[in-house]
Order: sequence, then C-alpha cells, then structure tokens
Amino acid sequence: MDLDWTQQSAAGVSLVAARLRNRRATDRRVRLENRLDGPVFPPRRNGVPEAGWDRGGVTTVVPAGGTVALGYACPAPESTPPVAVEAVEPAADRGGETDPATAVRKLGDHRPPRDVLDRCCDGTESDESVVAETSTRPRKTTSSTDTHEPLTDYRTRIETAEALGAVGVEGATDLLATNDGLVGVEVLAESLEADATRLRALAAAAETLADRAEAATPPTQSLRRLS
Amino acid sequence: MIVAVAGGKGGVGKSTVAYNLAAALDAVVVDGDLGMANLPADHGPTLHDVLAGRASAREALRAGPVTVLPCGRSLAGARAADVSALGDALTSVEREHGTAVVDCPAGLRADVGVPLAVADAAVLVAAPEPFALADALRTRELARELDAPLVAVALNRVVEEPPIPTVRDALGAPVESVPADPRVGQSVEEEAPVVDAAPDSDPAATFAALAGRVDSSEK
Repeated sequence: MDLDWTQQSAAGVSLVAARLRNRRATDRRVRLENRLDGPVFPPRRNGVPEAGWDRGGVTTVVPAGGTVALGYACPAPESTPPVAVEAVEPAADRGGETDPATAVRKLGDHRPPRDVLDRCCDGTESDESVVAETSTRPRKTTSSTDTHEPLTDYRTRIETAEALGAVGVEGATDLLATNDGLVGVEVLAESLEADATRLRALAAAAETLADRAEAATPPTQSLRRLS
Repeated sequence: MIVAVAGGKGGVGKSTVAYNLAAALDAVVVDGDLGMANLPADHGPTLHDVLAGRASAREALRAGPVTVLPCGRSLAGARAADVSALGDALTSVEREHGTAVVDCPAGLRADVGVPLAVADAAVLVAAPEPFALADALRTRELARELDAPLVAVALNRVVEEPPIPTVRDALGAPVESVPADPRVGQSVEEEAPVVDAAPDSDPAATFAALAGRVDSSEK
C-alpha cells in the first residue's frame, strides 16, 4: 500500500490530503490514522461524517490496482508525518450499508430552509405555542413589515391619497368608508405634510451619507502590513 | 418490528393507511412527517421534541384508540429536529411496544430514508393511477437500497376494479386494495379506525389482510 500525503496549515488548522495506491490484485481495507496532535474533522455530507471516518482516522477500501484520495482537517500544528497507514487487510465484502446515517448522508435534507422561519415565526423558543395557539394568537405581521420596509407606511398613505384624488364620487365613498370616514381623510392630509418633510430630511441624510461613503477610504494597505 | 408506510407521492393516503394498519396490528403509529404532520396531536411533547433531545419517545406517546407518537406542526420544530436520531427513537418505541408503524412523508429525503433503513417491513401506498405508481416505484427502489423488504402494496381509495396484476408486477409485492369509503377517510380525524368502528366492512377486511401480510413477513 503506497501512501502520499500533503499538509497545509492555516489559522491553527492543518489540512491533510492523502492518496492511497493499491498495487495488489485484490481489494484491500486500509486503516489510516491521524498522527497530528488533535481530533480528526472528517468530511461530512448533510451533517453526517462520511462512512468510515471517526475521531482517530478513517477506514476505507482501496480497490485492486486503484487509488483513493482522502482529506481531513485537524486543529493542530503540522508535524511529519501527519498521517500513517495503521493496518492493511483483505477487504471482505461487507455488503451495502443500510444504517440511518447512510440514509441521511445520501438523501436530501428534510429541514425547511432557515429563511422560511425568519419570515413566518417569532423564533424557535415559541414554536410549540405557535403550533398550539395559531387560532387564538394574532400574528405580529405589522411590526415585522415595519422593520423590513421602512417606507411602507409612507407609501400606503400616499397611495391612499392619490387613489382618493383619482376615483370618482362613488369610489371615493367606498375609500372613505375603509379609511375611517372624513375625519380619517383629514388626519391623512395632515400626516401627508409631515410625511413630505420627513421624507425630504431622509433623502438629504441619505445623500450626505452616500457622499461620505464615497469619500471614505479605510487604510487597508497599511492595516494589512501591520497584521 | 418496525413497519414503514411510504409511497413517494403526497395525498395518496399514507397517514390513513398507517393509522388503520397500526390499529389492525395493535401497534403504535409514529407520525414521521416532520414537515407536515397528519396524525392527531395534543399539547404534549411531539416527535420534534424527541428528535431535538427535549423529550423521550415514551413521553411523547399519546394514548387513544390507536397509540400515536404525534409530530409537531411548526417549521421551527422541523428545523430543530435531528433526523439521524429517528432510528433510535423508532427502535425504542419498538422495544417497549412491540410494533411501530411509521407514517413516512412524501418524497425521497432523509426523513423517508431513515425509517426505511431501520424498518423490518415496508408497505407502499399508491393511488390506483399511473402517475402515483411512478412515485411508488421510486420509493420501492429506495426501500430496496436500504434493505427494507416490501411486504405489500396498498392501493388506496379504489373505486373501479383496480389493475392489480399490473401493480403487482410493477412493484413486485402482493397488492391489497382499500375501497373508497368515507369511514376510512374520516378514521384519522375522528380517531375511529375502521377495524374497530366498522369491523365487518370491506376496508376493515383489507386492513386485516394487510396486517396479516406484515405479520407473516416477520416469521
């Protein structure tokens, strides 16, 4: 069994790559042990370590006349050799692996994506109460839209005002009904003026910030030299 | 023993078949659909909690005409659930109660694969329509890869004479057809399995036959 290895260290973690070549005419099962001073971080798929890996190394089958390439990380400084062949034996046929870990590794993740949760739930802590009391507890939709879209409220008021101007008398009656009658529209007119002032102030602040963003240049070069 | 009720396609009645089969086998039915639970639940801990390490499988069991291990209905719970713990959860239900029937979700993801990997028998549910059969075929392939012996196919909601020989040849397992019957459809919601609620009905006879096939596969 021939073993070639390379190692590379970055940020306190060594990346070890190994290549095993089997010159024999039969399949061989090889136990490869990590010699670095730390646990093996094995390659994972769907969160489950690949078959054959454990904290000390890996056991794998190298086919007759073939090569197998492996790699892992280890939170330890480099040392020579980083990896060694511990045992070689004939590979008896172990049959297909059918344990749950294999199923998780091979098949897709069942979990809903994280961003779905951010949009529809208050958080993981309250998931049980969300489930049990969906009908009794009102969802906090308005507060979440506030944070996501700061201009929504302004836009709604302006659109309402525009709609009131654009529709005829009949349509206006309906709109009046949905906007708290005449008093509601008077309040709307007042808040529109305030809205205009606030929006212009916001635009001016945004303009200033954009200018400053263009002008500012962090001293990347000198900082890089220092670090 | 652990019996996985799977079928690939959604909406073919896997939960209904699993619930009624569990009643016929006097087994615990486990709602394995982590993203879209179907079996009755109450306010107690669910399979989500079991798979997140917050409860034991025994604590989550819910007594009723059929003992159910319900599943949570929140996306956050589904996300927190570690599907690789499902095998151990099913094994512990089996150890304490003898037989666990798992209602698998639709599709071919890990939450179908894990029950199939630990199952001693698989029952496929299909609608008597060609497109449902294609999904059942894919699930059968997965069951074969994961060493779950397919013991029977349940053709659900059969109205006309179903193409039993075609299905049997395609899927390679004996076929039982469950006649379309409102009592079957309502059995889960009303918690009234047909073998108890209507023991002399045709559907009850079908579930008894299905249970017989599962039982005989064990010997």
